[in-house]
Amino acid sequence: MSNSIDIKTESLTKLFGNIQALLDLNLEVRRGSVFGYLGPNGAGKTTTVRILSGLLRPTRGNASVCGYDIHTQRDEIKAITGLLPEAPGLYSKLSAVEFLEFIGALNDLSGEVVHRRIDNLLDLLGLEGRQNDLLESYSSGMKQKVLIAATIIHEPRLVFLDEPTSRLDPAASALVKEIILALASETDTTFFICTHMTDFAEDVCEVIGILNEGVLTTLGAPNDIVNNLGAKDLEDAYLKIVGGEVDREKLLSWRE
Amino acid sequence: MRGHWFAIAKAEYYVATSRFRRFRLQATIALAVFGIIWALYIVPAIVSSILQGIGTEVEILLRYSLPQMMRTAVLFVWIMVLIYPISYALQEIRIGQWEIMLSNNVSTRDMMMGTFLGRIPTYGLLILFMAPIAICPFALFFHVSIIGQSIMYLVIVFVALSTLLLSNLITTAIQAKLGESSRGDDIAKALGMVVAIVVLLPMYGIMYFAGPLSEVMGMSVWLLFPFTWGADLISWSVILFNGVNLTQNDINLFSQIIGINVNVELLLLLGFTVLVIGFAFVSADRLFTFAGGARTEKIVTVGKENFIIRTIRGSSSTPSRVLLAITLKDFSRKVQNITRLMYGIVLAILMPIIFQYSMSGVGEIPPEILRFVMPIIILMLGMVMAMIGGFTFGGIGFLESKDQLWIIKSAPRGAMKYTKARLLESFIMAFPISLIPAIGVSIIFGFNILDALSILGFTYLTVCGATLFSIGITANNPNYENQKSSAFYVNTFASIFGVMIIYMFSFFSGFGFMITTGSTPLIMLISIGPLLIIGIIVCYLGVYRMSKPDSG
Repeated sequence: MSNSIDIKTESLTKLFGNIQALLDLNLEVRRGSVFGYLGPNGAGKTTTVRILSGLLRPTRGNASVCGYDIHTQRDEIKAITGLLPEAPGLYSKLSAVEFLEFIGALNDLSGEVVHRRIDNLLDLLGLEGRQNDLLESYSSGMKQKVLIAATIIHEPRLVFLDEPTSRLDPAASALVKEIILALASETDTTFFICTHMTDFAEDVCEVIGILNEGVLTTLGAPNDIVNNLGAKDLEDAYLKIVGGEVDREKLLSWRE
Repeated sequence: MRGHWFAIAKAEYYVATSRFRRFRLQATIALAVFGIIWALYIVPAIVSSILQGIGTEVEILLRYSLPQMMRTAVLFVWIMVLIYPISYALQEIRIGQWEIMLSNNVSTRDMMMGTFLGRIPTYGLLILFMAPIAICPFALFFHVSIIGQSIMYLVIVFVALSTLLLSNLITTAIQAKLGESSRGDDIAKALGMVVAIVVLLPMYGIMYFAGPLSEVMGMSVWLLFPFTWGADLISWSVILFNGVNLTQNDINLFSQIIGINVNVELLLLLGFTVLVIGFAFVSADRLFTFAGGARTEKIVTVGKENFIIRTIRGSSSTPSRVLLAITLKDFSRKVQNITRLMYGIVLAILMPIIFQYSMSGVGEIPPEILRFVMPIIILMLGMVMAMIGGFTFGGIGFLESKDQLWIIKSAPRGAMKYTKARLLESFIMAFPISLIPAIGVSIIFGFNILDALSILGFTYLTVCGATLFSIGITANNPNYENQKSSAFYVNTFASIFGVMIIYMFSFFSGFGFMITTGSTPLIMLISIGPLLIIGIIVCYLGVYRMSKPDSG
């Protein structure tokens, strides 16, 4: 992992009318690191990813991604990053190979290189037997695997993953975890991962940021966060920060 | 305690009225009250003034064609109530909802009854607004008494309800067949689009062959249809409760035309309704099921690429060629896209044929009129193809939903590359769909090769112009989740009306020039130009906006 910075934000803010989706985010993510972005639904995680990947204009503030400015160099950012959106629209009438070829072409890749990568990725993700079936017949986990392949097929320097393991079974989730760790350590790829899965974040991420109602409330290594809060694990620490600890007395009160 | 059917009916009603959910009850009551005022005061006042204004010709028509006109009016109501719910329901496969209901131990009969009753308020309102238009002219002209009018309305409501039940049954059967198939949704949407043709074409066929068929059968072929029985019952109400003192001769004449006794028709209609209800309840268990049959998951594996795709890819297989090849595959594999295009081709050929058929009844056409025939045919052809082309290649033919946009826009200049590929794909697909009607029409009307080629060029460029315009509109406002989203409706209306207005305006300008100069190529040039130019501008603006990051 090098010491250069891949993501740097300064007072990054996004307002949707009266709603504060993101407020004064100041953040640095080092190259080759795996950054975990945690927070409840609607906290502003997806908004942050969309701004950093050049898809959404911030209301105010600045940010640079891999040295490129998010206001003026969006195409350069897109060329060097990969994005797995939260709710991606797959092309149901394409096969996995065709879909990955399509993504490759959007990123100016074609020919032998892209075909070799497609074969290798589908093989790695255990989809080699179904690679020519239309995506409409895939299970949600298989679709997610194809989308993960689509995110990294052009070998991006920085990868944004919005809920990458939410639809995966434990085995596939473990595989994705290993792919992330291998790419980060071997190729210096930076990962910015939005997730609800605290155990996944604890295993994979070197640094974690916890976002609550648009504000970055906590930043640090998972162990440091757990220790500072005197929590049992990251899930316990997360609940202490964002609230939502379970009141056992209320659990059955709905039956009254 | 109310049965499960009530909860289902309530949910159906909520779905149907979701657009004005904040004031659902008030809106329903207001519409019902307005409907009653419409039926009792507004329509009678309008019809009465029209009848007074038009004079004796219409009076004679009403007097001597009561049964036939009533059959046509009720046929219209019948088709609306039968087709529209089927077409609407096929926009969304609802097997998931059935799963929830069945897992809550709801009986299939409750499901059948609930879905039927839930639709009654919406379609009841539709009938409330449509029925007076069909019935009022006769009620007024024949001075039908209040009892007679009440019977007329009761019969039409009865016909509508039994038809709605039949429609519900057909919809459920189709949904059950398509439900669990991964391709079901696509096929359902295609079916939803052509269901009108599926019902209307045989009807037209019967209309065309009604005479010979009736001769063979020894009775009017129309007497086989339930809407005829309802229509005839209404006609009988007019005859029996008239206030214009119809003579015995008149009554005998009507009776001869109608062909069956009033009691027999009443029995037939009741029998048909009982049969539909009985069938619905008996078949409910069979229809609302999930196991086996045609609904098993089908995995489609893609085969080798065909010659066209291989040619497009070429030996170099550059990214832009790959994008074009993939978008062509994506477009052509969707049943609803192909169905729409086929629909357009059939319509484009049919319309000039109907035009020719109606012209043949006029007799010898003077040469100064004859020279307008070709421009009118071109107008029809261009209009239909522009509508279908714009509708198919724009909208979901361009982008299925906004979710796809994140992937496209996350690539550098992704929106531009994607739109270029989609445009080229549409221009390629537009060629055969312009070629077939151009050849068909040229053969039917005996145009020479030069005329045929110019018609082909005109139709092709019109489709391209409409495609540019519609893709531009969609790219300008791509924020729709699916085909039920309001943004999608707005885009569709903007595309259709935009294309229609530009096309009609430029065509009639061209027509004006043609009258003075007598040049058919000129009319073509003037008709294509504006649509192409505006299409290019709208498309460019759309892609420019789509390429920009969202502002929220």
